[in-house]
Amino acid sequence: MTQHYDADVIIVGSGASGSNAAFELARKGKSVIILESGVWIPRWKIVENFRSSPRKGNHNDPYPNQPWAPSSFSPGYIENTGSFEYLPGMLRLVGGTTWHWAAATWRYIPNDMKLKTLYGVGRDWPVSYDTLEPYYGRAEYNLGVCGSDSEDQSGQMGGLFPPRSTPYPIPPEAETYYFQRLKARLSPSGFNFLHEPNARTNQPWDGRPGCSGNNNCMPVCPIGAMYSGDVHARHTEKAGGKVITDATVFKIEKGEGNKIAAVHYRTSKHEEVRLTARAFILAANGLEIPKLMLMSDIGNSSDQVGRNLMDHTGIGLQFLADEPLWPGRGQVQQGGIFNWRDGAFRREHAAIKHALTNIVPNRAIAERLLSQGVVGPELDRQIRHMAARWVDFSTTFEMLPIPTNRIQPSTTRRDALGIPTMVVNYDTDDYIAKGAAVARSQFAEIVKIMNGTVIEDNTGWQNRDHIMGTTIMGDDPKDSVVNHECRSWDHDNLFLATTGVIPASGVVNPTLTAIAFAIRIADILEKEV
Amino acid sequence: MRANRVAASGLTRRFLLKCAAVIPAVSLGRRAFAAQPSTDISSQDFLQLSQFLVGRAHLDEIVAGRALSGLTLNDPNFPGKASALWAALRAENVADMTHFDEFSARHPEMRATSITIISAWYLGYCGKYDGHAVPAVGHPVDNAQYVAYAAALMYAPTIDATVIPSYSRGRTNYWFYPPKTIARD
Repeated sequence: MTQHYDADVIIVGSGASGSNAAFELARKGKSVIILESGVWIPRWKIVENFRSSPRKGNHNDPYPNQPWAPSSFSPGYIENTGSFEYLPGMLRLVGGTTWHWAAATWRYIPNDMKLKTLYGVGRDWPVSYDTLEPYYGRAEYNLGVCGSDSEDQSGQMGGLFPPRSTPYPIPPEAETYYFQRLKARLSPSGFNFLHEPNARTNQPWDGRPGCSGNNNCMPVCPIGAMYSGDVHARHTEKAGGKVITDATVFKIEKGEGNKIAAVHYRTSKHEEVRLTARAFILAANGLEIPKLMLMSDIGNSSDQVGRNLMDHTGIGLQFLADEPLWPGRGQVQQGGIFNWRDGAFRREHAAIKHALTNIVPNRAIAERLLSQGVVGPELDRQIRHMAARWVDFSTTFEMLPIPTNRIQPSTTRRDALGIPTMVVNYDTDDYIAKGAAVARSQFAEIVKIMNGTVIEDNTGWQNRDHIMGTTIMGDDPKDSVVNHECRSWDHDNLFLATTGVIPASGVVNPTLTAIAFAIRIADILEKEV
Repeated sequence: MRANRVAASGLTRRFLLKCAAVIPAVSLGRRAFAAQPSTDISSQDFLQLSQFLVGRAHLDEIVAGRALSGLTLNDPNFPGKASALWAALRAENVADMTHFDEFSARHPEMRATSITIISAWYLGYCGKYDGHAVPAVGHPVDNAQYVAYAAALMYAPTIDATVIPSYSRGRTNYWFYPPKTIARD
């Protein structure tokens, strides 16, 4: 009997990972459907929402937040039980959270993928850098990434590293004056500065204009110079694929031979639809995917779904330098100090990334001065003085996979569609605590060199919104959720396109890796469906 | 970048009606008396009080209306406090904000009201916002009220050097160079 399918491949989630997988399949002539719980709205509306919001520091605020597609900041949506309030800023709309990601697009380096073998901690990846390398190149091309073809991205100041088979599609943007000055003064003391590869084009690329320094990558790039996942949602439609919005998948249905037979979605009007396909890709982010899998009781023979939640939990430093540097000109971040991206110290403590934040600091400064009661002409004078000298470091650490750090569907709370919300348990450990102690001593040195006046150097742990580990990749079905192809060990027509598969977090932003894996999934499925 | 400035030729009937609809507690067209603090403040007095507190000869009336609405929504006693503050500032002939510390030493209870008004104009919002909660339509999560964005006064001191985020004045890579004022900054 001939089996009829609604599509060759159904993809749950329209973010950068899902949309890139969908586009690669659609342009090869496969029929694809993307299911998205949120809406599809134009950029200008988000920009207007931002400009008229009283919550400028809240990156989710300008975005849709419907009861049937709540953002992660919807009150009560994520209930925390651990010592750290884990609350990444995840969005629900076509394009996903890359609407406000600042577009850092690092490749992991080979040593990141051999953490256990080299340093005796955490886990190894079941895939080598060489295998992933061509897909990194394709992901960089799709996103219009600009980066340096000469820097050693391991932070050790050797030649070009990691190896590349293709150059970056776009050269790096100019260094900001702020970056130039900090680099000039800190480098002689051994702080190694790197340009951060980023998907913020600085020349026309794929219909996008070059960045003109609007300094608003988070929460929304007003001109679309910064890549967001809706680019490839649109490309998917042009290539013949279909994007269905207001479609929240709440159940994945098993069929014969342990294959996935169908997904079920619910609309805001509580209509239910069942769709079948030859293969399925879950691309709804590292919290929503394990939640959906656990709700559907699929893919969890290892009992690892939802466990090993890792982030680049971090700390911050703000100080006033002794010279005007004028942060806030250009994009919101550009690179930083990478000496401690890799090294033998990873046996003892977490890798460290010191990223330089380049946000126009007037709000932070004015809030501070007003809270101190500074008024009159002195208020204007101090705003200018401090805005010229403000230095802001956002430091992140490598987290290890801890099985008790996990996300589970709530057993007590549900959203407006009757779908469980989330419970997250997240604790930090000695590995990153030791890393943070080292980082704080580096803060002190940096402040000293810049003759700085500390504003804040004891922030406590901060969210970094890099969800990893929750659908962990490995080479043993007993302790991992997917294999090196991102294929479920339990269901061979189910793939996961998400940073959630990453088994060793390193210290770099993981999105490019998820997109590289997504493109690889599309290549695999092209041959199978 | 331009604020939604309206002609400073007095309040329009539409504007007054709009305020009345939003804040029934604020009386319209009735001036506060210096000697007898009122529980209300007129839009015009609030505008003048604001101009004094932030040291500007002109302020946008539309923004003033939003500030007064927001501050009143968050504190029903705000109009009375503002009225008393304006009355005291005038009664004591305080010349300008360089004398604010002496004034607030005499009237410590008025310091918070003053800072609240200055904050609304500088920051472009009033109330406190929750950085980790997003309201669904019609479901507020905090008492933050929008007042202004491009017109928020905190951007004025640096407007030649940095952008108001989301706006742009330069071309790609302009940021390689420092602002022209760098030697004086």
